[in-house]
Amino acid sequence: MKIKSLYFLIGLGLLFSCTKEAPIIENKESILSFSGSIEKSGVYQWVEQLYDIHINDTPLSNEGYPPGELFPSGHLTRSAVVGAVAGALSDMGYKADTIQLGNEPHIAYNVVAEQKGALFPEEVVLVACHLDAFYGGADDNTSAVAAMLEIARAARSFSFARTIRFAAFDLEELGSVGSTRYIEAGYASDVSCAIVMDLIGYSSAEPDSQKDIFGVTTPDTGDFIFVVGNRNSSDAIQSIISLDHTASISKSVGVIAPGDGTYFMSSVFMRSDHGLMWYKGIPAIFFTDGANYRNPNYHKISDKPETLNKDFLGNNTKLVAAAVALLAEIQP
Amino acid sequence: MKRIVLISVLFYITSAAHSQKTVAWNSYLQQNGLYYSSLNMTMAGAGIGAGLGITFHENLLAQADLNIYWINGNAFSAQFSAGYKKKGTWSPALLVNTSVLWGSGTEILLDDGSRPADIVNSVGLEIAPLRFENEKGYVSALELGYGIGRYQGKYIEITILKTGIKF
Repeated sequence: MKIKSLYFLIGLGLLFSCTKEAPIIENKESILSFSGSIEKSGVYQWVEQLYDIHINDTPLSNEGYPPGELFPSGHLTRSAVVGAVAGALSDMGYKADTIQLGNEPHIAYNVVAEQKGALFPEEVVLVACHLDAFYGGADDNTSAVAAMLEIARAARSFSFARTIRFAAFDLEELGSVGSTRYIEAGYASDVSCAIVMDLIGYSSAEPDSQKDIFGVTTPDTGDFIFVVGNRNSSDAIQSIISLDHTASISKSVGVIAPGDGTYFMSSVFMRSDHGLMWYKGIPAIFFTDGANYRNPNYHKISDKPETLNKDFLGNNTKLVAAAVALLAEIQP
Repeated sequence: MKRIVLISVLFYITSAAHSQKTVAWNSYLQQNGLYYSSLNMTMAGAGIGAGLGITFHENLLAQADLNIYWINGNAFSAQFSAGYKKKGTWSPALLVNTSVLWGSGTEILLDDGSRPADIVNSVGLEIAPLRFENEKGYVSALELGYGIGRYQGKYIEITILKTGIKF
């Protein structure tokens, strides 16, 4: 009788174990119009320019940060790129602010600019990446800064219901210092959803080029972009993957970490500026190519522009743009 | 003919009486760990469980248990196992099992953006090489399980320690 009861419960469970479909996307034409306005060549030009700025900059002092194999702390640059990013945003017509947070020897310089929303200006969609890099950092994280700048350029020709705030955070490589100070200082209290990019330009068509991530089985070939969220951003992740599936913008794999995403086994998916946002309950979506689980040049001097896949980077920028348009509610 | 029927009835009654003595129930607690990895769902954790078992003729056993795991959120499993064990104090066992897992896990979305089902079922084998029992109960250490499941999944299970009381 007891065994029969157990089988009844098992059968009942399987009966309700159906998949959950992605939400229906409205205004798809406008979203794809914005995504289509991204110029792939423009993204790669930014990568080359910013890479040159990094490689010719003077590294920060690594006092208090002993170097390690994955952490070449004596080769971290950011100073010149802070000015370059702020200048680029200003040239596009934005009011770019450089927000200084913290004290010497590691003051964080976060570059922030906004495009006000037409209907709900108090609701902010944060589009973020980190601007510091080891060596030239073509993939980590010049690829994402370049994508952010190109999306910012394209956004000037469109109208969105919500405010879009572009943020290039400093000192992520020292432990998400810039974004942590930004959030703790209350600057993110109006963020309704965040999109964070960290390494979005490296791909490989070789089998087994993508390693499983901390016990989580992933596709073997590293020719896709991860779009990662938690329970707070799961609907948005589903919408982005569904949009990519129907419009073939890039090749994406959606990942939803359990709960708020901070459990031990999924904590590896928190390794960027969205980590504290997950802790704070801010919905945040993370775009990445998998970092050291795919890119052999991760945190090495060999992380150069020519190792990136231009087409992959361009397509990923288009996908992020589509996500921005979706979340900020682009106006028809 | 009557003699044959009589002998048969007596034999049946004797057997039935004997089998009554060889059916034994037990309840048990266990500490275990589970790792379920598939194309669309990864569940894992260390946890505890409780179950009910029954032994027939001292060799055949069946058991059902409920378990909870922590590390990647809270995951649960319900497992039914049946198999053969050796008689005696040292009583190693080999079982086949079927289980259902549900709860928290890391999800890889399906291509169209759908979320995978949050309940996965699996079948597998389990060995209990260090199982010892007496007339009151049993202990079993380092039981190992391996199986396959939904979304081309594979699971590995290890029971660190299981203790059961017969009643």
